[in-house]
Amino acid sequence: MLNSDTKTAVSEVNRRRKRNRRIMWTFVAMWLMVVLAPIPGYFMTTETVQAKGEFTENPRSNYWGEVRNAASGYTTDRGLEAGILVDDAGENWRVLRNDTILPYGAWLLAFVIVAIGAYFMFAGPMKIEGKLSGIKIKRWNLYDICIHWIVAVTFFVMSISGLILLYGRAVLIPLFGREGFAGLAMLCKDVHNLLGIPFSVALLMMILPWLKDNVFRSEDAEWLSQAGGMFGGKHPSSGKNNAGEKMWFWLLTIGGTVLVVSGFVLVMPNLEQLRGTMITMHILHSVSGLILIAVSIGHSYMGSVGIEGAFDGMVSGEVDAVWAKQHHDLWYSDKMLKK
Amino acid sequence: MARMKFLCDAERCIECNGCITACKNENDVPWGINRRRVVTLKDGEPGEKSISVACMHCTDAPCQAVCPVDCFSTTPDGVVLHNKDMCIGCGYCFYACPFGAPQFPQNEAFGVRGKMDKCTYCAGGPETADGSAEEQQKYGSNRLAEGKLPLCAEMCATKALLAGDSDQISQTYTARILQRGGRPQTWGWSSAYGE
Repeated sequence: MLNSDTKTAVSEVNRRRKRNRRIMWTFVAMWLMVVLAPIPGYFMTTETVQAKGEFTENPRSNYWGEVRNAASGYTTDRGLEAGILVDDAGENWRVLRNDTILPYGAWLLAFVIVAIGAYFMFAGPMKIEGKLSGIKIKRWNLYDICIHWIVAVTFFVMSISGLILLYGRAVLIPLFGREGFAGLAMLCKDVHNLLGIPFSVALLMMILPWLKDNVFRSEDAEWLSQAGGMFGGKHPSSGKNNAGEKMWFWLLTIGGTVLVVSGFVLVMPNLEQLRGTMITMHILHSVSGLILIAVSIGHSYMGSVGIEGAFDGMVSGEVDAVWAKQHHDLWYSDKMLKK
Repeated sequence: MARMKFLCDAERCIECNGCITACKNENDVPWGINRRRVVTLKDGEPGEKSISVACMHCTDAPCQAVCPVDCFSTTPDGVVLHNKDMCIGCGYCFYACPFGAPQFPQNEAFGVRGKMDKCTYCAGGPETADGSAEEQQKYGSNRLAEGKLPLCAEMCATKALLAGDSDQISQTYTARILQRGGRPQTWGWSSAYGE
């Protein structure tokens, strides 16, 4: 009874398997036919074209193909690259600027502002632990303070004018109208171009003396792994500059160099640089500018409301001993030993 | 509305540069600015062909798309004009244009770009009164307002450079091609000179 039932079940399973296999092979055969059926047509077409070999090349279309591929010819126009009839390079630049840098730059800045706002709301500023001692330790000298603020102010003005030139059409023209905005844009362009010179000089004068304090050392790995005590826990050890400050320094050094070099290529179009060079430099300029602006927002937050006591350091040049011990303990003990 | 275009018949252009002379004279184009130019490919070789090129008055113009102050406008006739009062001389239109049409006067220190200048299709400026002295000085002639076509095309001795409503000039060009014969082997350089 049980045995015959099992037998029927087994044969039922076998039958179903066979059926499924047949269905599968039918599909495979249908697919092969669909794929292979049009192929003979290709053989016939090739034969037809080969028979009329004289028509395979069309000088007229070759000519326009060359024009389309930026072929250069003779012209009496003395302008640079005037011999090129059609050059696509600008098309790529337009798409990169309008459809990539513009929206992603805006997202980057919005993300940074929202992230910092959220951190401020939920975690709050980093307070000084305990009471101030009243003992002041010299952290920055007058030269450091001056050069910092020259770079900071020029960078700020150039960020604002640069952002107006990049986003003004989308944001400010609906508010001021085209005529009203044009005057502001003209002012921004001139300010941006002129301030580039003091910014470049001040940046160099800031980077060079600060270089030795910003070389990465062994304690920085620990500092970075704890994100500088940003998310609670014990404040990690740090020298005069912590790993975060060092990262900002190197980002500013590399990004600032890119910014300055590309800026000078763009600002003086009489140096016979070609359009391709200027397009590349414009992309580098706007990308490095946007990244530095985004990070500088974080730096400004930490230097002002984010970390209690940090702002005084860059104004008077002196920090309280308690603050120094909390944030830069290695530097603090160095200073104490020297005293 | 009509949509104005230029079309240069490369089989007819003889590189006389008459279009450039006409343009410069009609619009008082300053020294160093070239609103139109003639380019000859394979100069002095078999298959030599010349084309006169200026602003092509694109339908969806790249210059217009990148201008940070949005100073370009397209007239109902399809002519792309730009406002020199608003222009800040940033050069972005020059980066974007595939035809090298935007020109910049460099008469300031360090080659700082002045207000952009380009072919106006002899339609003056977008904000000046038609045919006024101010318009002539700022943008050049406004022949379109007088019912005339751009002088470069009107002066073209071989009628290689065509200007006008795109439908009409493409009809003219199609008629020429049909008359020459559809196959490139039966007309042009090789049939005339056997090379």
